[in-house]
Amino acid sequence: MKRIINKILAAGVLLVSHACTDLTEKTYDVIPTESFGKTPAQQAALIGPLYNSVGNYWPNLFWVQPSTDEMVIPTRGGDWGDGGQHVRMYTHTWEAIQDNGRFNGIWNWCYNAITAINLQMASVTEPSTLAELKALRAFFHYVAMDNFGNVIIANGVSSGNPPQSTRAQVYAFIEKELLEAYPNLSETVGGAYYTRFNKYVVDMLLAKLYLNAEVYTGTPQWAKVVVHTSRIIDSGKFSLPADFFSTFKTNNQGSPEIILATAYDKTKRQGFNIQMPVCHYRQRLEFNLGGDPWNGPCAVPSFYHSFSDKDIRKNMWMVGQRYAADGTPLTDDGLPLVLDPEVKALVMPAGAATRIQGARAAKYEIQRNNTETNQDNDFVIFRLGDAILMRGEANLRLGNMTAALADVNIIRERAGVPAYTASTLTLTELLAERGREMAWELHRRQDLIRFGKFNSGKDFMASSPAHTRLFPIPNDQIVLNPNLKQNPGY
Amino acid sequence: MLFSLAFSTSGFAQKTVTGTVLDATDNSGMPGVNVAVKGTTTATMTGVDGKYSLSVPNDQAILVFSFIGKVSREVTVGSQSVIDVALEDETTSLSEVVVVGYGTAKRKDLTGSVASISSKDLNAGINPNPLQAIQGKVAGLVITQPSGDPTQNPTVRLRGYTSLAGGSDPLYVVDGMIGVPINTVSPSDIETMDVLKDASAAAIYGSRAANGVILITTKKGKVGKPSITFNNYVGTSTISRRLDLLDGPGYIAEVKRVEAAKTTPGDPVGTDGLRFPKDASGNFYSTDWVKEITQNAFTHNHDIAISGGTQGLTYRGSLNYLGQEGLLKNTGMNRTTARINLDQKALDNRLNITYNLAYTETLNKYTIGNIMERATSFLPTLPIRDKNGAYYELRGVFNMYNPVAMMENYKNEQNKKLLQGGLNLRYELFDGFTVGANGQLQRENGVTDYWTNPAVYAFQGSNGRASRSYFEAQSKLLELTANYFKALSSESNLSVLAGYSYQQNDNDGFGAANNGFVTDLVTIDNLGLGSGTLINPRNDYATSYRNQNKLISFFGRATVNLKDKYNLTATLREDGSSKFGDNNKWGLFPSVGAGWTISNEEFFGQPGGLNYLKLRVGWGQTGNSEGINPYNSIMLYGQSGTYYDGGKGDFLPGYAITQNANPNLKWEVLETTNIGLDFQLASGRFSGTIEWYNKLTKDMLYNYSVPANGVDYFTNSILANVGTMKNSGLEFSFGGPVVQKSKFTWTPQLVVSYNKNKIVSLSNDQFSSGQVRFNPFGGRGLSDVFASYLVPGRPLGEFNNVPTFKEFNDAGQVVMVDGNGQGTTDVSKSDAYVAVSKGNPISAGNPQPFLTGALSNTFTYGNFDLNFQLRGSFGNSILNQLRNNLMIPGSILESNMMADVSSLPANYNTNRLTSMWVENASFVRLDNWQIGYNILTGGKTLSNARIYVGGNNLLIFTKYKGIDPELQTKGDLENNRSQRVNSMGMDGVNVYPKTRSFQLGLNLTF
Repeated sequence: MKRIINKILAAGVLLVSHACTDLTEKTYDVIPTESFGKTPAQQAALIGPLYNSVGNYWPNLFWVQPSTDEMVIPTRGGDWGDGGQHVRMYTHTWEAIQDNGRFNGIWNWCYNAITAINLQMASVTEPSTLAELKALRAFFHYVAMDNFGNVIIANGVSSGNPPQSTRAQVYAFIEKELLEAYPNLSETVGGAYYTRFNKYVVDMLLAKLYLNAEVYTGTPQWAKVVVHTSRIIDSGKFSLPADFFSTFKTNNQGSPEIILATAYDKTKRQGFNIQMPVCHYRQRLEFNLGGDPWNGPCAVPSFYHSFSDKDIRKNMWMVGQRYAADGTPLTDDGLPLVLDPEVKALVMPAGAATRIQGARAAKYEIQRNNTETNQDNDFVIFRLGDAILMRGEANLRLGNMTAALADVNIIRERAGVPAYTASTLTLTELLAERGREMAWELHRRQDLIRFGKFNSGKDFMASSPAHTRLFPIPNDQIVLNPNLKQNPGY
Repeated sequence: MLFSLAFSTSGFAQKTVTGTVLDATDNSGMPGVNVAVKGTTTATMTGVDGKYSLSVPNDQAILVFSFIGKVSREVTVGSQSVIDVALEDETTSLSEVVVVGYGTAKRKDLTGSVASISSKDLNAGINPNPLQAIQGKVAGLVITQPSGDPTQNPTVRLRGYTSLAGGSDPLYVVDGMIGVPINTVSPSDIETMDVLKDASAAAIYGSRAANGVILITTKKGKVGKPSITFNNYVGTSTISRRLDLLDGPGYIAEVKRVEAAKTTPGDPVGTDGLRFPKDASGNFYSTDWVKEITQNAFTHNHDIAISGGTQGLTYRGSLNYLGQEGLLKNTGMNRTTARINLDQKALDNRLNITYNLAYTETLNKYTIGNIMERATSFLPTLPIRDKNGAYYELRGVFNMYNPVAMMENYKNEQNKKLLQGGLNLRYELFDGFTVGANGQLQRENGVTDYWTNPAVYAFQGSNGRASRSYFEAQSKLLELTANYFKALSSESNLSVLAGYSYQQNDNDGFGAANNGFVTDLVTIDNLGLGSGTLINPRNDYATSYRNQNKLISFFGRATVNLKDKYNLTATLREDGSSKFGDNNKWGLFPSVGAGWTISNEEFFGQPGGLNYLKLRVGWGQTGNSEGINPYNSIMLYGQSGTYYDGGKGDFLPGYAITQNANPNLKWEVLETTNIGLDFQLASGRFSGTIEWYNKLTKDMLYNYSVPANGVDYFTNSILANVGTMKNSGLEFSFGGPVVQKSKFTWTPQLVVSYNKNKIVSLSNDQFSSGQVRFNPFGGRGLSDVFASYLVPGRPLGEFNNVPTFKEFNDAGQVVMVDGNGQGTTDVSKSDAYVAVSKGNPISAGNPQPFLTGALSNTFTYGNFDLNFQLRGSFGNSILNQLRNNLMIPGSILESNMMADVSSLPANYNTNRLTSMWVENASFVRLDNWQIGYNILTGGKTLSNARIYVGGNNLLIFTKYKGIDPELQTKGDLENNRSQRVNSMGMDGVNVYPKTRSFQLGLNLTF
């Protein structure tokens, strides 16, 4: 029977010409990879999006900030219960399976970006572009290593899973890559190099690496921190604007303090929407927002209280009576809408009285009369103020008190608070000062770990086990990649 | 019969009998009916009008009236000289001709599982979609109309959920065209629908046949004088069951109850003027928001068909108009269908030509996002408009929007046109050898208009976005076949089919949008007047797409039927698709089937009135590939957002690899074994089928997770062939006339099916599904809370992440059972979470029923007839998310609630996903019904008139506390790129209400 069918089929094949068996795909709205990337404009269109991935720094890392002492997302009635994930994040009781999604998001973001960079590095030959891509690839390795510790070194396109490296090996790789890239990078700041990796971004990245070298490798590198931060500070290409908040304004791309920022636009490049999670529901009327905000993250009370009343930076917090855009005082369920910095508990019942608790951050200017739910502010990853405090810290740890005081007090002065003296500037004070200066800029977790305070108590948490200084390697990655071993303690 | 010629033997004592043979279905005259004197060669055929005249030898002569597809009648002549008869359709006849794909077969020769529904069996009531018309008619074919939205298509699943990403809908073949949108076919044009259920029947359709094949044959003209039929009905639909929400006074009472329970009670009713405004005379308002946005919906259907023809050429033309309002105001569907079928015979009847042409125009008016949710939650104490005439809004209260304002200020509609036509030639080269060519063309296009008025608070954020988009989908099909039939004896024959098929699909479309209009008078109709493109540039104001795919196939079938006892069928199809990866362009799909008519064996006898028994066994592999999109297998650059170019000081479009290439991408294989037993009782009066099947989905398509390792993957997932899923089940169908008196008949038909589904595997050494959560249990504070994980070894959709409810504590908190059987209020310590972390989740219910069934009944009494269907589903659970969201006393000020919210503790304020909301969803519904009266006029012009009343969804029997337990359970992915499965068994707050309908109709035949 089958033979008969086969014969008939064979006859059928002869009857129809080759054209009738041609299954080549004709593409219309997509571009086969081999047909693109030839002209400079096309190459730019391929390399640009690699930088665009840096723009996902804020949404990926914002939601793990409640692991620190600066941000908490309390549960108010059902609101922000979300399966207990925010409570687990705050109390360091996250785990690899239940919180796979959050951690896997960060991991995927880093390594998918690295694959795309590796693909372009295989064809780009122009030295300065190649150097930029090398530095960019090192940046994503740095983020992955800082959060997960023992990660993968992905050094070029290939197939199959590379082995897992130790944190110290990844550290060494990042250092080598950044130093190799450095000579071919531009010294131009702003203009065409705004949001891109120039020499100063790499100096800052190296300084961050050395600042935390003791955590990463066991060996401190304080002097190297001074070297690289000095290249930035002494370059004369950056300055501290008198208005602390000008670096965070809706239209902040001109700030002379910015070393590395990612560009956002409310319509052209969406993704920065910090006003939505932080504002109270009824603050929609205060700013005339395009959608209902979510009343979520707020300041940990003791963190809020670490700001003195004179501190200009304290103005980042929205507390007290809120007013509608037309000036009328807002109420909620008949209760005056007075934002109260005291958060009474991590888990609270529903109702207007718990909804108003917690100071809300408005460090990044909240855009008024915005019909979109995204904002125009660029997110600042590295800035001069940070570099100055880093040099101050390194000098303090090296015993150079005079140099340390000089740097730290520049920051104090701009904030309108009294200068430190040799007797008042301690490491504990410096950590608190970094908290005030860098609040909600996504550096706090790293700082707390470096100062040995990550597992110490904070409001609503007595202490936590040391293994939580690394996030678990996402369970999905462990399942998919047999080379990966889970971090100890998980 | 063909050899019976109209001649009469000469003889004496003869008399002539005359009369008319009518078709009992429509009382029209039947041409071509064989009228013979039993036991003689005396015979004639009826003429064009059904009239005959025949000489019979004597009064004892018995006349036999026979016609293919009709029950033969025998009448003793006696003293009559005029004998009129009406022939009934053969329902269970074994000689019934079944469409099997690229040909037909007699039912008695089938080896595969094929169910046939003819036009007279279609469901009564208002069923604009052919699928609604066969709901409950075919064992194993579960058809669900998920809501009362007339623009929504029913979900169809054959014998369980067999695929995640491969596509889940059956393949529709209408008059030889593959891939016709089923909702463009008017049920009144349908002659038969044949459902190919198992692999041995469907494998001839290869890589697209895994979900079954539904073959629709539309009505054709009959030889005779022109016949005109009118079919008209009007109908009205209401909400079948309303949510029992609090009204104004009830809401105020509940607010007071909740406040009174607090340690320091407040007085929101007295102080919160925003939530509790008063009218001019100082009274509180009480608004039923659901009532304000809904209406009694009218449906009207008008249908005219003209058919007739001569021996060489028959024709049928029809025009159908259906207007169906939606229960929600500003929604509905209008459809106009025109169809012409011509059948021509030529060259001594050796050449058969069939022309088919159909045009359908559909206007869908859609609902607007979440309007039902807004209507259920907006407070009943609020008026529609304030004293200045503006819409009343609760500004600054999360997710609270005036639903009437929304309903009156948007446009969301699509106007689609479909043209489908073709030519089918069959030429008998020599006796038994026929070659055929079938060419079909289908072109569908549509325009979608969308606009919301930014003056309305709910739509403020979109800034009055207006968009118009256009799509066009074109499909060309060419099939060449050769067929050889040889009769080996009167009881044995052999046939062989071979064919080639080429189908090309081209899709393209574009869209334009703008926002920021200073007037709402033009918007969509003059997009250039918006300011958005100038002030707020973004990269989606203008969009377009275009793609193409080709499917090339070779297929064959061989059938041997021996001695009316043994049947053997084998089919083979080789499909090549441009969408498949380079390493797997061609797939082979084999099937074999065997049948053994046991009752034709001599040893059989007729035990217990069992007059027919046939065993069928079939095995085969079908493919599933409709879920693969063009270009899914190759490495491509596509658009990847925008990036900032500092040199230009602006954002530019980025290009990036947007998918992981998979050169091994191919069809998913469904391997089916089917064993069936057909039987008849009491001389064929009752007939039934029992079938067992086992279906294994191999190389299961899914967007598997890839290791993000920085060297070979660009995105999180890859469409690949990895996993395995299993379905097995049992089906039973049985029916026949229980009462068969001359004035009264009752014919019930029962179909029952049992199915068990299990995901077997979701990983191989390269890929794994990863941790996939779905069934989001939405609501305030329930972001990122999911009731289900995709777990191998478990049924798809199982609620396996639902903590067990224990009790409410004194503080009004939900206490869950923890990992050690104790109570906890911390969801992270609950039994379900602990079990998931340990890798062995607990089950709180299965949204898949194990049993579905339907009992259809037809009664006739004189000229009256009554049809109704009872349909049921058993053993499934629903997670009642709707009640969870509307049963939180502590959040009463943030949303309206169900009336029985007062049954929960007043201090309960933090809702949780727990087993408390899992409910039994079994139900029995009295669905499609109709009572008709036939007025037999016998007039010269009007040959038949029928009036009827009918309807849908008259009654439902269920313990389920939600609106309706019959939910959409699609079991496929949310979209092509998603890993998340569409929700199964989750009843949400935004479900378009179900309808209860009544109709009044009139059919006229001239």
